[in-house]
Amino acid sequence: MLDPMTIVILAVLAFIITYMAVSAMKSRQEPLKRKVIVTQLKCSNCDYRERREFKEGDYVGKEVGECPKCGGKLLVEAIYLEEVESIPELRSAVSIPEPNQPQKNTGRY
Amino acid sequence: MDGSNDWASTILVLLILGSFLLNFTDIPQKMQLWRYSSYIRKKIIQLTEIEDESKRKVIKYLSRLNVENPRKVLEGFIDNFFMISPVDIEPTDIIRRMRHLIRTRDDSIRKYVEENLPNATLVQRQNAEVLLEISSVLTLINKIVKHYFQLGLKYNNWILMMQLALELQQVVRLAKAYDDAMDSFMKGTPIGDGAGPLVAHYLKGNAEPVEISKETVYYVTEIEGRKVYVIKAKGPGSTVGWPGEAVEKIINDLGSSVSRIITVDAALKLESEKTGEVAYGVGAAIGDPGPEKIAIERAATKYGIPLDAVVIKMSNEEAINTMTKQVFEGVRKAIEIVKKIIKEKVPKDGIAVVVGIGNTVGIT
Ligand SMILES: [Zn+2]
Repeated sequence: MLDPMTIVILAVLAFIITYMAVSAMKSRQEPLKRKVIVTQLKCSNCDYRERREFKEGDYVGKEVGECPKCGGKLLVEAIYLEEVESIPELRSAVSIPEPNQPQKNTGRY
Repeated sequence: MDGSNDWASTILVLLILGSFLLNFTDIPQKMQLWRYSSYIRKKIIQLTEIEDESKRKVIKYLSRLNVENPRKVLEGFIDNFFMISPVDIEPTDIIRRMRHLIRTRDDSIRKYVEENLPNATLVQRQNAEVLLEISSVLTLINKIVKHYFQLGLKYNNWILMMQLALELQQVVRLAKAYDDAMDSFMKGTPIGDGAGPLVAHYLKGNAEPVEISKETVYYVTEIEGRKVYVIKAKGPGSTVGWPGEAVEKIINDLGSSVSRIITVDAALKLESEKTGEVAYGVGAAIGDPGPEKIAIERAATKYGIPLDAVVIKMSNEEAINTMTKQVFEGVRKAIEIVKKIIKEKVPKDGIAVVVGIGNTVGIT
């Protein structure tokens, strides 16, 4: 028969091991993504769009230069916080997702 | 065999003694009081750190604007500029009295900041106002938590202590969100609450702004072939403007030729809802203490103009921090819904008024 003291020690050990295992699993699940404030630029003339990191002084509607395509006014179209894998990914991401399709409205306003 | 028998009887005695102590004495409550109070003490240290951090941020921002004695400016602001709610057991006039008090407070804050930051631009001053307010709120939160904690200790009120401990996690999360929000205002990025003004910004197109109320502008534009008046706070500084008064003025000018008033605002989401969901309904979508909202409702009722509300859902934290991509996508959906309402509910020769409600920091 097992000594009660041994049972207590075994129980405590089991508890500590489970606790450590659970917390180790939790920390491994931490996402590797980082959050970046993105400034989205758009030409007021043509369809040219560009994305870069936010710079202090940017605001939506600000004129930030000329469009490299047609020479029109380049305006800040949007500023938002986005999760990206890395900064280079942001720089290369020139393609802008089109606006989502409008929600289907079946009801009345 | 003898040894284990000994163990069993010892455990039995301990069990009986233990259950007596648990059931017939105040020891468990004392233990709980002690446990909860040590937990609260830890959280108060955290809240104090957040408060100090916010003060450091304000001082950093003010010294960047070449303010001579930023600490003095901050200390002169915290604890002052409170507002006493108007008498409500005699409701006659309460909205007018409340509006008067709110505007008096706003004016005195503006004046205080103007006096202490004479060389700053309007946008910098507006952002400084918000930073000072946030720091002041964080100080207040910390004080209130300490108040209940000390009351609980003083009167051995373990229920109060327990309630406080259970609430504190949420309180600390809110305080953290406010502290993070300061970074957004220091940088001047749009925040989640700016969803309404952002919708207005996209709808106005290239129209020129006309100032109609304090820090509030309107644009006249054409959407789906209808004439549309777009109202929003004047950016890109941090302000919500006086949208109610602006709507009142425009409706009084145009009268019943207006076919529809559409308000667009950020709304608090329920836990189960997703950020960026858009919903529409009826009424004035605006979360002010009352005066601005009632002005919109009265103007609409006076001429029998239908009042539509479009809301973009987000959490408390998202509303005061840099706008997330989900909220931005919600803004795009909201624009489509507003256009659809205009197309379907406003006759070809009719006029619609669209109001983007919210803080316009980072959005012209
Ligand atoms: Zn172009």
